[in-house]
Amino acid sequence: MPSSRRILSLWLPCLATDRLRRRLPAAEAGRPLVAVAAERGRLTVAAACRQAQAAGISPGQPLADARALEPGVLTRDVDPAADAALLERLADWARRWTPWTAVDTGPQVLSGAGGLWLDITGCAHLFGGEAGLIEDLVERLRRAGLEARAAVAGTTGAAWAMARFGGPLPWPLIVPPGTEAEHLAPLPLPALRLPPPMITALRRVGLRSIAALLDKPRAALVPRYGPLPGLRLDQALGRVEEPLSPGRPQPAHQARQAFAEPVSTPEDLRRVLVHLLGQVCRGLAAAGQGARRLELLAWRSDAGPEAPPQTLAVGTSRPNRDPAHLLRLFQPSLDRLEPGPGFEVMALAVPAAEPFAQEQTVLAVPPPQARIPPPAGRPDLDLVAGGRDAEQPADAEADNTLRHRPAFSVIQGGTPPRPAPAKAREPRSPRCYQGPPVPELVDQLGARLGLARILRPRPRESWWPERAVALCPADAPASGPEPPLWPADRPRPVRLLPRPEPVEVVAPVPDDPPLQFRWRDRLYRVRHAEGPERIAAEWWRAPDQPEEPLRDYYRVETGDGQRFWLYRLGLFRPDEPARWFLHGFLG
Amino acid sequence: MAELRERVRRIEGVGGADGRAVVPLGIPDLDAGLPGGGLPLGAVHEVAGAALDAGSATAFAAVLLARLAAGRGPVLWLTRARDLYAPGLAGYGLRPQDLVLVQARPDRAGETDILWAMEEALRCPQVGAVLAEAGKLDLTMSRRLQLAAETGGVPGLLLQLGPQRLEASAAVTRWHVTALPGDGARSALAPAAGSAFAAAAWRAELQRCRGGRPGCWDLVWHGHGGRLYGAASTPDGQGAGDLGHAAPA
Repeated sequence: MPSSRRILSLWLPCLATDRLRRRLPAAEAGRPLVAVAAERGRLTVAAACRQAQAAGISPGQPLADARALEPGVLTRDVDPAADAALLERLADWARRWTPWTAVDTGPQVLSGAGGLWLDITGCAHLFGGEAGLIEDLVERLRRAGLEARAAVAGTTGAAWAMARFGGPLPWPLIVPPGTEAEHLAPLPLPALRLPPPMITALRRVGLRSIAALLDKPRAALVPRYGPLPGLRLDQALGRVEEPLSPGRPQPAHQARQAFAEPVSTPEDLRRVLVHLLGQVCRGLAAAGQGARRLELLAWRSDAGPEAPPQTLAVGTSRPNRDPAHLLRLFQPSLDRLEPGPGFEVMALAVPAAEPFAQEQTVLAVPPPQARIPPPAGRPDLDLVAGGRDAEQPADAEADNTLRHRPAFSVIQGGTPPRPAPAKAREPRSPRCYQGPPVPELVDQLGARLGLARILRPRPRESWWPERAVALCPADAPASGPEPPLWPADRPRPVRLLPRPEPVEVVAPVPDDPPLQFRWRDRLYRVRHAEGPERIAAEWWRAPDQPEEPLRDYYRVETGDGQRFWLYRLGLFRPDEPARWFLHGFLG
Repeated sequence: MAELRERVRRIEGVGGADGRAVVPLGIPDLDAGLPGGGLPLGAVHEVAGAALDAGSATAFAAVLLARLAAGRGPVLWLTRARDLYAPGLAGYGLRPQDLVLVQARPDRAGETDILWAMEEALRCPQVGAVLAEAGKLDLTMSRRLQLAAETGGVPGLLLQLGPQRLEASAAVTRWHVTALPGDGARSALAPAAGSAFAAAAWRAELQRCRGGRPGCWDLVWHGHGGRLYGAASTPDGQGAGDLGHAAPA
C-alpha cells in the first residue's frame, strides 16, 4: 500500500564534532577533533570527526588509544544537551522548506550523529523538485560547517536507510514511489533500525543484507527474533504505515511562498502578505472557520541554519477571515520585519482557528449617511452598524426586529427608512446593537496595545467595593446572560482608588461622620455627610485567611462641593484610635 | 438663515455630513446656545476639571458620553489610570455592557497609545462614543482627532484632569467642570431626590463653542430619573439657588 507521502530523512553524521569545530580558533580548525566523555574513570572518545576517523579513531576507544593513533588530535568535552539544542534549532530552521519538521529521536547508527525528519509532501516543486530541495538543504548546511546527507522516499524507513547507508551513487538519494524494495535490498542490516544485539544475532546466522532478510519466510523469523525485523521491513517497504509526530503542532491552515529573488521592499512584503492572507482565508472559508491567531514567518536569505525565522503574530477577538481586516492588523507591525538582503521564504500560519459563526461579509461598513441620526435628539433606530459581521453569536436578549432592519436598509443603499414614529418615541435610547464591542476595532487596538488591555466591566454580585466589578477581556465570549446592574439606590464613586489611602479625621464621636479630614496634606471641611453604610468582607470567600475588618462607609461633601467616599475601618474600640481611609470620588 | 448656518456647519465639518447630527442635552436654554441645538456628533469635545475634583469632571463626562452614544454603539474609555469604577459610572447612565475600557500603559508610551487608539476608534462608525483621558495635546494632534471624528461620525471626548490649560485646540466645545456646593442649586433645579448624594451638581462652564455661544451653566444630574436639569448660573457665582425657573428636560 504505497502512500503518497514523501519523507526526507536528514542525517548529520558528525553533528557533535562539527558543532565543536565551529568554535575552534582558525589556527586549529584543520586538525582532527574528537569529543570525549569521562566514562568509568577514564576518558573515552564519544564522537570523532572525519579526519580522526580516517586516522583510525572510532567512538568508544579510550582517549589514550586515540592519542596513540593520532598524536595531534584535539579534544573537547562532549555535550549532548547542546547537540540536542542545535538539532531543535535546525528543525525550526528547516521549516523554511516545509511546515512539518521533527527531530529524529531514534538511534543514529553513529555516536555523535543526529537526524531530522522533513515531510516534504507537496513542497518539493517550490524548490526545484526533490533533487533541488536536497541539494539546497545539504549545501546550506555544508556552508554552515555541518556535514549532512539527505534522502527522500515514500516511507520513513526507506528514507532513513538511504540517508545513512545509501550511495555513494546514484546521488541524490531519491527513492521513487514503489521502488523501495529494490533500493533497500543491497543495504546492510543496520539500515532497518534494529537494535545492535539483534543485528549481531541475525549476522550470526548469515543474514547480512536486507535482501537476505527479504527472502526468508516470516514464520521462521518471528519465533526467534520477535516481530521487530518483520515490522521494520514492512514499514520501510510501505506495507505498514508508520506515524511520526511533527516537532511543532501543525496549524490546519497555512500558506507559504518561496521566491526566486529575495523580496525586501515594504511594498513587496505587503503584496506577499496579501497573497498569503488570500490563500489562508479561502482555506478558512472552505472549512467554515475564522482565525483567532495568525503568525507570519519570514526567512532571510542570509540567515544561517540556526537563525529562527522572523515572526509576527496577531490575534483577533473573534474568529475572523476577512483578508482586508487581517491585513490591517499586520500593517502596524510589518515594519518590524528586518529583510536585510531580502526574504527567501514567507509563510502564514493559523495556529488557532475557531468555527466562524455565520457569513455576513456583504454588510461591510454602512454608507455614512445611514449613520447620522435625525435631529432633535430622536434616537434613530436604524443606526446600528450593519457592518458588524457575525460578531453577535447568540446574544440572548437580541431584539430581532431592531437588529435586522438596519442591515437590510443598508444593503438596499440610500437612506435608511425612518422608524415608525410610534416606535421611535417609545424608548429613550433604544439599544440597537447588542453586547460585544466592534471586534475589528478591538483587534486593531489589541494588535498594538495587547488584547489584555481592552476590558469590559461586568457586574458581580458583591457588596465589597473592590469585588463588585469584574474586568473581563473584551475578546472573551460572553458567558451567560448579562448580570443584573448594581443597585441604584446606593451612590457609588466614579473613581475608586486602587488602594484606599489613610486620612486623618476629626470626628466628634467615634460613630459619627467626620467633621474634617486631611488627605494628601490638604484639609477638607465636611459640610454634609451621609452614612454609615456598613460593608463587611465576605468571609466565605477565603475562610482560611484572617478576616478583613468591616468598613463603615460615609459619603461626604466638602464646602467646595467635592464629594468623597470615606470609610472607617473596623468596629470602634475605646483603646484604639479609629482608622479612616479615603476610597473614592463621587461625581 | 437656518439653512445657511447648516451649510456653514457642513463646511466646517461639525455635525456630520449633513450638519444636522446633534444630540441635545435636554436643557432648552443650553441647547439653544449650541450649534444646531445640541452637541454635534462627529466632533471632539473637551471636558476639563481640576485633578482634586476628578469626580465631578468624570461624572459629567460620563453623562455626556451616555448621551452622545445613545445606544448607537459601545463607548470606549481610554485611560492610563486604574481607578475608573464602573458601578459609579452606571449611576450616570453609562451602562457596563456598553462600556469598553482600554487601559493603556501608565508611562509616556501609554499616552501616545491613547491618542492613537482614540484616532482609530473615532474612524470606526460602529462606535458610539470615545473618551480619552489625555494629558498634553498639541494643535496638530487635536486637529487629527477632529478630522477622524468627522470621518467616522463618532463623537469624541477629551477628559483633561489637572491644572487648567488654555491651549489652542480644534475641539468644537470645551467645558470646564467644577463641583457646585450647596443644596440650594440641587433643590431649585431638580425635584427632591431622597438623598443629597443621589443628585450631583456641577457648574459647567462652556468656555469655547465653535458655532455657538459660550456660557456658564449650573447642572444637576438626577440619578433616579437619569435626567439632567440645569439653568444659566448667575454671574456672581453664588450658585443657582435663587434662580426662578427650573427647566426639566
